Amino acid sequence: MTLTIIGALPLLGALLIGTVKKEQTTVVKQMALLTSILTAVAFAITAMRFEVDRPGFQFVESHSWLPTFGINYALGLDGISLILILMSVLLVPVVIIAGWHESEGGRWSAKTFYVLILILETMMIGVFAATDVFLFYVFFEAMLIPVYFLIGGYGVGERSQAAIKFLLYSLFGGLLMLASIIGIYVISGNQIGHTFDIDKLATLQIDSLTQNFLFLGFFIAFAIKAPLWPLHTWLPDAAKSATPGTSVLLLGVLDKVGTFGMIRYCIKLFPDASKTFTPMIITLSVISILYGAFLAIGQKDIKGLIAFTSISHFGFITLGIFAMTTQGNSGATLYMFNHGFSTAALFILAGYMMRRRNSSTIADFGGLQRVTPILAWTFFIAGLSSLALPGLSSFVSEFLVLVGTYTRYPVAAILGTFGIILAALYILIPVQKALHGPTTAGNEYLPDLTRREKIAIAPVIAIIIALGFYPKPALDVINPTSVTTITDAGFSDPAPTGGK
Amino acid sequence: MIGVSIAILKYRAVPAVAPEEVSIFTKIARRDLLQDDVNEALLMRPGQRLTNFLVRFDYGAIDGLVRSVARTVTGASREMRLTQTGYVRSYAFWIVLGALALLLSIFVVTL
Repeated sequence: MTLTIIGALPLLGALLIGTVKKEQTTVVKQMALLTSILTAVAFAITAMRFEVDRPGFQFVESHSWLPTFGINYALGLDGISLILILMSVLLVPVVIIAGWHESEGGRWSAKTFYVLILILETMMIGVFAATDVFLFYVFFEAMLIPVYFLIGGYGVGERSQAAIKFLLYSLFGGLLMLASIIGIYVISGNQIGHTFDIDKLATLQIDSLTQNFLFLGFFIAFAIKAPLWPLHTWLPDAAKSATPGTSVLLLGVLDKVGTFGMIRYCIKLFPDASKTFTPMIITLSVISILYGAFLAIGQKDIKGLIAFTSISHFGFITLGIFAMTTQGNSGATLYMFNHGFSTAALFILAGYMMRRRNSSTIADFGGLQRVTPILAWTFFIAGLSSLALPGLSSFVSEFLVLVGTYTRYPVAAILGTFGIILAALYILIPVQKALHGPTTAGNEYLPDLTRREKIAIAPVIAIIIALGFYPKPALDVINPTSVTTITDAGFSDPAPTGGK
Repeated sequence: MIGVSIAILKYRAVPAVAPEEVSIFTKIARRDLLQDDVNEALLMRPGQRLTNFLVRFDYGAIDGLVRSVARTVTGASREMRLTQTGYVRSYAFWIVLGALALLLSIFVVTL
């Protein structure tokens, strides 16, 4: 029941907030923050009880939900889901503190905003913890609703259009996945009796043609979510229109459901199809890395810039996953975790900058280094993390992905390495424009970070630096699951080569 | 020592303003052996052109395709809405047409 209780905490908080008058915005915010901190603490305690060397799911619970269809309410944790839930529950309180005033100016009240955030948190825990494919699908689709309202109700610019675009893209992917889920359910009925249990479904014998179709249903849904080129165009629009806090949850957590799904469902359920489509996916990943990087360089809007850097980073993650090596898989999973924090830092700090300047155009931020040194330095560190500077967290994961890929696909790894060079351009050029040089007119009296803003960003920067120097605790959790994923799918790491 | 002495003798009188009429080698030396020019010509300018092209391509081609699908659906819906005239005779006509299509399809299938 541990996972159910933790997952229900934010929902309970949302219900309690529902009893408060909507005029009491401060009480609403405090309750939301308290709930998210309690959830984070509860999950951190649970995570400490996780036995890293024990194979399979832990904290397992299963209750019959719709027995006629073999659907269970089943939850469990492995190394990958643990690390991603940990990232999610740590980011929510950060988002609430950083975006203390984000709900102002929205279509609805602050109360609705925080209720939506907390409902989303429950969905995020559920989607990573589900071990029943149908339950996963329910969370996968249901989490679109709070995000749709958060973008459409509290965003800026063409927020309604962006929210609808996000929803339609996601629903289209979800529809394909549903078709595949029904397909695999029918096959399970013929072989082992109707079930949605992930471990049982992984034992099915499916002919290669059927497996290819079922794989594509899942993969396209996840490639939209991740997003992978050319299914990415919803992301920049959504990121530009959403509030910085919503963007953190969107890019930091929700998009990880796509890459998580590729590991948990595509590779585990359809290993042969994964092998068949690997060359195509590796190619798309490399295109995503380079394409996202070039478009990031061409952005004039700071939120658009972060969105396109993420498309490039998701290319790295997918590359690591489909390299089908334990190093690549571990690197990709660690990348998901690290990207969550580096993107969070960038969006939060970009949010601070935009709030001060009332603009998201990079050219409007000139000379912030002199006027707001703490804001400028923290943004600089976040940017360096995004370009994977050694000593910061993203470096370790990017290095592992590239090394893991090189052992099987050297050309893809070499092409992917160009993404690192382009990353230096897409981060350092905006840093130069926004932070250095003469102070742009209108920036002379901008205030530096407040105490609340420092409290929000400090833990994120601390995690980025700590995991850059000492990633072992995270890798200890991830590695056994990565080894199991690769070996269960019938792959083995290529033998080391080299001269005497 | 000899070299230094020769250099002092030859270049002791350095003009305050660098002469304009110099050899091509001096011009190249003054431009840092054309390193920046080569970088700009081979990497920076093509890179900028590629970036600008991709930004337009992303908006026009990839996102443009998605937008054109959206426009087609909206346009088709707008046109189909016109069939809802509110006249019973119009609906009766569509019912008859539907029934005929159904009969035709049954006939084709059972051939």
